[in-house]
Amino acid sequence: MKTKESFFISLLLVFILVILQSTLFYAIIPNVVIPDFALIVVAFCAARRGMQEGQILGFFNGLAEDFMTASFPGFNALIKTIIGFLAGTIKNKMLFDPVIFPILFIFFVTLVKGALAAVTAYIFFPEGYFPAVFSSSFLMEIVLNSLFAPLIYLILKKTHLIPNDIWGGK
Amino acid sequence: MFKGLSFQKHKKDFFTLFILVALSIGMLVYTAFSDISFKPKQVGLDLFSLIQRGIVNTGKFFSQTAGSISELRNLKKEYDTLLKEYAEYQQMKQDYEHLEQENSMLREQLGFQEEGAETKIPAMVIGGETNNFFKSFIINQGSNKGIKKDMPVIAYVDGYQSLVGKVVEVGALSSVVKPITDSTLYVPAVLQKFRYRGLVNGLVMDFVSREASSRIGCGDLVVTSGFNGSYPENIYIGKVKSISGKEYETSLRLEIEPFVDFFRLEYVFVLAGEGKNEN
Repeated sequence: MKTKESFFISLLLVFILVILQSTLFYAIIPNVVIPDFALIVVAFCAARRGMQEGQILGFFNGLAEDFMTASFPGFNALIKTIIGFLAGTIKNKMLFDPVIFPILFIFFVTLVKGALAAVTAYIFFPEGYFPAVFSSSFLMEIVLNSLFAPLIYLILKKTHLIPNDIWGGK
Repeated sequence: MFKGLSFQKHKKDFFTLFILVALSIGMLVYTAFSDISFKPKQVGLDLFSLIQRGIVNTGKFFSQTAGSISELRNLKKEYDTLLKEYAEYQQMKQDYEHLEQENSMLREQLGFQEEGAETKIPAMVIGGETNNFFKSFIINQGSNKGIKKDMPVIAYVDGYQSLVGKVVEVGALSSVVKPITDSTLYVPAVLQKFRYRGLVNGLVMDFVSREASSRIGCGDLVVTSGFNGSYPENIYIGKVKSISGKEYETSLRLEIEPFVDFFRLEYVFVLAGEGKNEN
């Protein structure tokens, strides 16, 4: 699949996942912790395709979430842009297996998301609007994201949304 | 991980990062610190709510079609039962009309004002949060139906008005509601029986006088106090689940079990003409 083509498909996939996370998944498991599938896709695409595509995907993922949440617009966009950029820095630098590394990678990506959310809220939000970063639901999200990571990694590889060659190969 | 991440080599990437971060921060600052009435978020909220509405309605269509076959079987049974109940309700209606007449006569004599004049705008829950940092949800009515920011949202539980939360964002066709389970929402409350006041925040009632410890117990009802006008009074919030408070503290801390089952919340009512920012 061509780079541009796969980028736009990834972008579409991220949008669809954001909408599904807020509708179908929410209806099936309301008020229960929902894994951030869009974040996982952004992180893998960034790690494989680089900072440029990672941060743009992240920005639009965050922007879509901002329109559908009670948080201030720009909050998720900022977090996901930085995550996309940081995840993109490991392009061609790491070799990872289909299970353990995706789990560890997404574990750290979700941790970074929490840390960025806390810092952003501390700087920009009025008092009393602090996101639930230190909560059991976020802890659960870290676990769920990590557990779903190998499956999503496999799907992205099979659909050629991330290159199918050995991780780290040029 | 960052070895070889030189600025010169990745000038384009850093430039894009700078633009995107600046855009994000710009949006954050614009909405957090400005009073300008046009907010792009409202446009986006409406746009996404149309898609969310479509998905929810499609899902409902399929689930209802699949369920309609078995539903027909039950309809006959229910019809017979309802006929019997109808006869009972006819009798109750007559009694009710009689009581209402008597009540209005007594009210007139006592000089009470008409209560419950506020408009209730019915709405359906069409979506929720995409992350686990906040707990808000989206309803399918917006400013086109007269919904405004800070209006209280209720649901009926066993016939009683129970507090769901309040409107925090309004688009033309949809609104974002922050539920009482969110720790960033503060509701002035009172214990229904002994009238001790407090502040409910994230299903914990704080600042309840220590004097109350000998009188209150688990299962006591908590309702809105109407204090500060942010919520109308006497709307059920929940019941006391546990009581705690260290000896040296001057107030008690009550854990509240909400009346509303947020796991199954589908329809809510927005109380128009009520509510103001508690800040």
